[in-house]
Amino acid sequence: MKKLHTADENSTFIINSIQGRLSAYMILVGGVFLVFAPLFLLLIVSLKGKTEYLMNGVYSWPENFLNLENYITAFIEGRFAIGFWNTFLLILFSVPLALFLGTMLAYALGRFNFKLKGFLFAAFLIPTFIPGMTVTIATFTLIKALGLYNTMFAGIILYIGTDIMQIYIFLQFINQIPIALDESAQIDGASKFRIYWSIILPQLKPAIATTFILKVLAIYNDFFTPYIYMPKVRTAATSLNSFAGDRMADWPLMSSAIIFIAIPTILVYVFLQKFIIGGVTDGAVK
Amino acid sequence: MERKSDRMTIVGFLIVPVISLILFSYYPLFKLFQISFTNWNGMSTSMEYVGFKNYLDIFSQRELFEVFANNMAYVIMAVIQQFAGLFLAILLSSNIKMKNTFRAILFMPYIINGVAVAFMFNYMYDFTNSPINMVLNLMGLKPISFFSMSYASNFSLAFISFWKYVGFTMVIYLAALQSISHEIYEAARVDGASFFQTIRLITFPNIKKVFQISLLLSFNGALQVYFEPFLITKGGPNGRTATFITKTLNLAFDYGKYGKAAAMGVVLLIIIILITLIQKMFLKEGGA
Repeated sequence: MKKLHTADENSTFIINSIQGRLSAYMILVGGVFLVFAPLFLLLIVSLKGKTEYLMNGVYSWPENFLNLENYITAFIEGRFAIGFWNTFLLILFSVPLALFLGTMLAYALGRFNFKLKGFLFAAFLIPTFIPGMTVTIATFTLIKALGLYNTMFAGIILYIGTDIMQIYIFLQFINQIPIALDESAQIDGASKFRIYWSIILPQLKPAIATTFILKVLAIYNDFFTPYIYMPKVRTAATSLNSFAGDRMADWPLMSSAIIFIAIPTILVYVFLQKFIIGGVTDGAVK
Repeated sequence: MERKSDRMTIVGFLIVPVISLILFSYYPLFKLFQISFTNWNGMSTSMEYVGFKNYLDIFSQRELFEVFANNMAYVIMAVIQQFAGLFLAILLSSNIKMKNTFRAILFMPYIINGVAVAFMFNYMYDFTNSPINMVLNLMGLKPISFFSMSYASNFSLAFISFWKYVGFTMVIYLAALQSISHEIYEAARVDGASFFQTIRLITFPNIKKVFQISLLLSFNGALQVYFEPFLITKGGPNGRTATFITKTLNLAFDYGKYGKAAAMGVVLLIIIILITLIQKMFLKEGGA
């Protein structure tokens, strides 16, 4: 007799047949394999010495699982310490600023009525339809004209730009805060900035946290901005590229360098996985 | 009095974001058009206006069409990615176990540094001792040259972004699927609809809008792709994997032809805006 699977609240689709369920699992496990296989191969290659790799190739366990020689060489020769440090500074200066500007903008748009409001909304929305890569040449000349080329300010100033996604997410939260809170604070003599600071901002915490983590990931992973606008300021991503230069054939060494750059965001993801996926969907679906 | 202070607050709160918007979003756009009509070399302080020469140059060269042909590989992969992502999302919305674990793992590539991913695949694709070719070798098959003069090289590169972004697409569709009310499915189940019938008759019509938007975004991404060819093949061998953007960057930063590069930027901008408008028209029709 066929066992009918009943719907639980998480499953919209019901696959009844055993073959169907089996193929579903096989496809998903196949996907998991495709995600992990290259990463796993990199990991075992990174633990092999040069001669060991030449002798045994990819598919063997490393002779010594604690052989960190490649990692040390990559870290020193790739000057990753400077790269990580500069990336850290970029994040430190641009993310809080971006969050400030974004929340203030959302507060002004969400709590005040003024003539140009609709116009401003449109003004912030339109650039999302301008494909970023197409205007690179012009942005480059602007950065040069401002004297920011090859300085960290180029990155900071480009990263603090507010995007419409952020504004929407913040606005949704602001609209849920009862306006009576603002009014009673105002009666108590609080300034607008005071209201923003002690009423609005604390209520925005969840949205700020999500935006914070997504911004950090985006800046850490960004290659284009530092490469084009500040090639002399090494970041994590660009230092991997310059390290690769003439070492491309030395795969054990390259593997460890790749893992070095990949590991920080993977670690963050392991701990904040639900949070990150939630943030990405919130931003994209709305 | 009250109103005046309000106005001050609004201005105070908006001034910085608005200035940065004008400076970094609108001014470059204006500048791009301006440069595209000049022969500026990126260095000299003066630039001469040359009219439509840059545009005529671009369209008279076969190269433009060749790079567009290369971009098509990414467009095709982008479409496949939509269906794969949707399919995975459907599987993860069904009555199977460990859904959250599968979701977390399949999404992971999205957050890994792109440079690291590109070089990782450069290793996987390596001709002489790559993991893939070693397996082929063991099975007595000929090694594959992933970056050759063949058009397929573009697919090797496009697969890298497929690997990185299919989990993202999946997560977007998961959210879209969850927004469809359960009662409809319940009703279909009572009526005895099969798994595939449910997808065809309920899921597809309900996520059409998300599907179109997601497809549009990945189309735009595919037309602006530069990352993998830029890092791995540098557009080579002999221009085989050059994309529209790598070509543009090349013209400006390697040959100092800023005017022509800007004109290419304008051309791509117009193409993408056209695609967006066409899509919008379709959306309206479908929604009515």
